[in-house]
Amino acid sequence: MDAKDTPLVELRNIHVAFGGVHAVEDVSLKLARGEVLGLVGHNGAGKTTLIKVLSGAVRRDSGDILVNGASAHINNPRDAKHYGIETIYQTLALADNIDASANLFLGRELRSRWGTLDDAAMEAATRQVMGRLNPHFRRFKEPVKALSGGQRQSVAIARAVHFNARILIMDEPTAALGPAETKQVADLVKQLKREGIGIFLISHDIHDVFDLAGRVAVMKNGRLIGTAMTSDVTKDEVLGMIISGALPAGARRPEARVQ
Amino acid sequence: MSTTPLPQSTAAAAAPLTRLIGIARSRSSLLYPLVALAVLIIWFSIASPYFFTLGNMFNIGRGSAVLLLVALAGTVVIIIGSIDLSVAGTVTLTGVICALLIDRAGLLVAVVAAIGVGGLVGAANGLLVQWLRIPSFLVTLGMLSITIGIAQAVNNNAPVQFRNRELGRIVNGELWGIPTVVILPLVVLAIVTFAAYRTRAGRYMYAIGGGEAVAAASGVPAFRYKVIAFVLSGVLCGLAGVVVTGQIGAGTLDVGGALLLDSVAAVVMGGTALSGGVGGPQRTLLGVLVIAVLGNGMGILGFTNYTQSIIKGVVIIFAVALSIDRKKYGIIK
Repeated sequence: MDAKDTPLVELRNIHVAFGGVHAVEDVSLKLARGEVLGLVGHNGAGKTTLIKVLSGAVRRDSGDILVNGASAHINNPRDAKHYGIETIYQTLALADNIDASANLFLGRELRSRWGTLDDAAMEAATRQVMGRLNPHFRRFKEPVKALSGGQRQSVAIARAVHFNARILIMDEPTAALGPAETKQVADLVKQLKREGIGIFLISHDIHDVFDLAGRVAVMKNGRLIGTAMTSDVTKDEVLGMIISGALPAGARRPEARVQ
Repeated sequence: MSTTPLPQSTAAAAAPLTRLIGIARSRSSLLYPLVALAVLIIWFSIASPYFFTLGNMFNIGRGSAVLLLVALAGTVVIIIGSIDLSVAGTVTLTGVICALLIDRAGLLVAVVAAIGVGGLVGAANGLLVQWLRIPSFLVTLGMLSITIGIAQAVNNNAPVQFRNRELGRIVNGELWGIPTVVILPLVVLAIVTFAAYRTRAGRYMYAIGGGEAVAAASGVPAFRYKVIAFVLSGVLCGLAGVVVTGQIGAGTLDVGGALLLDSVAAVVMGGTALSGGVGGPQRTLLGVLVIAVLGNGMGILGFTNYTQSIIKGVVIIFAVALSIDRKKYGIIK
């Protein structure tokens, strides 16, 4: 297979069960470079669990993850970051009690020759990346608890961007934001896409998904119902997939089980 | 807000107090213990000519050395959002171990063993919390009972006597005219404060205290650093155990029942919240000074033990009222 056709990420036959409940059942998905894939479904459909498998926050019971065609060993968030997979969680995005640069580098602190934290270097880098994403941002010294929803989201995105994410997972990135801030995030998504970053976008908001994603994947009761190019289906058809699991003409059935 | 309306009069009466507490809390919380300390010092200085003398300041330092070490241990664990209630047991056990080994194996071995056992107790606390997923206050309460029990069993429930004079000379001696037991905890304080703000371990512990799930999702090895925090607590308690044994001249089974309450109160009073993630070791010094000065001054003024106990309790309750962030607690248990 040509390197260009190799998916950036491939999830194969992912299973996750909590107790006896199948949260994710035999889901296979591919994501290409520069693609925004919208992952939609009801609460409890398994989208967040599936994506947490990729980000290392949840362990899969079976199935494989391939990054650039090679098998990836992802058992915790650190592993995922090693493969260039960065996640912006809806609720777990930032540590509230520390400042923006401490958050940006949390888990990957810059250290001086003596092994101590190099706060000056971390703050300088934070100012640089924030200057690119949100030039109005000034509150570098405050715990992020004090920031607005948009400011917090820009810090979370800055973290992913700074560490050269190749695969970005965004869980309800605009849920807590006003219209202007939502547009800011949307512009950012488009910019990241142009840079060849693959993005998984989890959202309740079908309009957001159609604005940003080239393709949607619909989940229901832990299973993948199907995928569709947003240009081939209507919003109503996608809603139909979410609610009843009905597959419209423009959508594709999940691929047969990979052996 | 509550849907049950309060009777108007009660609500109106409670408002000024609540507001006052709100204002006090919204200011930098360092201010409050500083003011409390200043008030106490002024009060005792006026009441007794003996209070504000260098000799008495050293007395306060000698009397609070163990408390400061134990409160620093508590600070580390409280910053990660847990609590270590086993401190008094760890101090007792390590003090007894130091006394037991000092004549047989020498001072150095005794000190290293005491600190090592402290670290092991801490490791056991941390691993039990993480493996069994039991709240730290329960695990460490159990460990309090276990460590006290072992300390009593070691010498058939009797204090452990020893001949060595070296330990007492060092602990009760002076360095550059300052009591060693004043210098030692201050050096430890400096190291712990440095670690809290300038090292990755410190940064991780704050992040874990602010929200363990968030920290873990960011790639912080929360398991490891929580266990390290408990180990550090045990090590500091081991050091405190050595100091107690040196000060008393025997391995005692009674390090003082107030040690646990005093240390937690000192931490919270200093502004390190029990909810975790905020505060710092340097703040704990202030809380320790408030408690130490209060105890020393009331002693000089001849307050009875039970009056002292009541006043200290009142001070602690008010200090905690000022320091905790109620927004973090939906329900007060």
